[in-house]
Parts: sequence; structure tokens; C-alpha cells
Amino acid sequence: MIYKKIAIVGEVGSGKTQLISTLSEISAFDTDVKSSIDIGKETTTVGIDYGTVNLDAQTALGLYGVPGQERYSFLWDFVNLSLWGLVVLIKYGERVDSDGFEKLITHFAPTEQNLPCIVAVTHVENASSDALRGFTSQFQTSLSKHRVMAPIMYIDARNKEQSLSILHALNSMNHFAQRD
Amino acid sequence: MNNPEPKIEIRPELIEFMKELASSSRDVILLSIVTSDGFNLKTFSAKSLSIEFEKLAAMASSICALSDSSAKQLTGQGLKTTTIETSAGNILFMKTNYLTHQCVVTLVAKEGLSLAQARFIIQRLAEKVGSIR
Repeated sequence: MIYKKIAIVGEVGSGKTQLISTLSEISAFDTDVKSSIDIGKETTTVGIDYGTVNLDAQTALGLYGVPGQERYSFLWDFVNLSLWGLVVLIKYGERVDSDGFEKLITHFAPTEQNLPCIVAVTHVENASSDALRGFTSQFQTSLSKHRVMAPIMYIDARNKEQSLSILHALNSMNHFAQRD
Repeated sequence: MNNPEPKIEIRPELIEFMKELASSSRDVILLSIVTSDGFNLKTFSAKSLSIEFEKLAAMASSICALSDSSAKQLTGQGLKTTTIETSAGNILFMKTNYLTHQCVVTLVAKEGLSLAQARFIIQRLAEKVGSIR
């Protein structure tokens, strides 16, 4: 069995724990605790969430979710080694944390590491196409600045099929990278 | 962008007790209480230590959450204490509650303080913090 690692990062409430729970074939190891500030939900991840999923008969994927706040950057270092893919989750809403996104992209440096990267926007159920385009254009600018070729996908992290589409996309990007 | 922080009152009796424990042994070089989601509430540390309190709070919350989750998966029981032993001394983390908040207390001690003594001090701190109403 070949084992590959995917890091799942993103701001508070972007759906990291949910995505891992949706995808994992084992009972996910979660490190959520009660939040002491208003973040729109009761709990937040402060450690590493972990789950696994089999990509095919020979390949297992380890899913490592880490908090997006910069004070947890020591956890980014824990997972940022021998990665097969990087998933950056963004929560759609009025507030745009482009600064936090920049820090994540700078730290994980997908282009420098030749690491396939996908940006997935969550909580988009009630967003119009125009609103989504406007929202994601800011992140597209940041990706261009860092020369990161990353598709931007819209997903519901509770939906298995949509969540799996991220893994399929990463798989395709890795195949292309190997062919080149 | 300014990061939000919890509005949690630091009671004088908490500060007094932390001061008392911190001065109980010169080998105690750090005592801290942080929220379980990684915000510093109060930290006393030796001047010789160069520590970013924000990072310390994040580390304490992560280590406790990882230890707690591991303990539950392996033994079915939650965390009591996490100990990191180094050649320079010990670091202990313990879960507690402060007012209505889940918190983590941290003790850093030089090698002169035995593990049992360090365990006793952090237990006292956790109990005192938990008794404040």
C-alpha cells in the first residue's frame, strides 16, 4: 500500500473538520474544542484532525486538517512535509480574509514545492454566481501573485460526492505532474 | 486585521495564587492559563525566557487537544495531564475550567524540580482555577 498525505487548511469555520469527517473511511481523529469567542459555531479545531481514505487498491490518502490561524503555524510545519496535495478551504461570506489566505499560500509554497493545490470555497449554498465570482476574484489575484496554478472549486463539505471531487482533482493534477 | 480575543475577567485571587505558586520554587520558570481554544489569559514567566504568549497559548491548546483525543481513542478516558520531559526540565499541561470556560494550565520547570513536585504544583493550580466562582 502506498500512503500519501494531503493537508487541509483554512480559516475558522471553513469546514476542515467536516470535510475530513465526510471523506474519512475510519472514525476521524478530531481535536475540536469549545470556542471562547463568537465564530458562528460552538467548536473550533486547535490540533490536527486526521482521517484516511483509499484512493484505489494500492493507494491510501492521509487527510490532515490544521487550523488556519497564524498562531498555529507550528502545526503547519508538522504537516508540510512530503505532501501529495494541499487543499485550502475558504468560507464564503461578507468577510474576506485575504491576509490569512496569503499567509497560508506563502507558508505552504505550493509552487516552490511542486505541490498540487486546490482552493475550495464552502458555505456557497445561497450565493449567486456573480457574488461567487466577485468573492473568488480576490483569491485568484493572490494565487496569481504567488504563481500558483490552483483550480477554485465550490463545495458543500457535508456532501460526499462534492468532497470526493477535490480528491479526484488532486489525483488528476498529480498524474499530469508526473507525465510532465 | 485584528484578531478577536475572548472577554474573560482575570480575578485577583487567580493572579495572587499564580504568583504564590510561581514563587514557591526558583525552578518554576513558567506558569500559564490559556483557554482551550488557544488564547492567553495570564502567564507568569522568568525573565530569562523569551516567549511569545500567543504561540504558547496555541501550543498548549493543541497539545492538550491532541493528548485528549489520543487518550480517548486508546483508553476510552479523557486527558488528565500531559508531560513533556526534557534534559533541561519538565513541561506539564492540565485541563481545567475557569469560570464557565474550558482552559489549560501549563507549568514549565527546570530539572531541579522533580516530576512529582511539578505534578503537585500544576494539580494545585488546576484545582484552584476550577474553584474560582
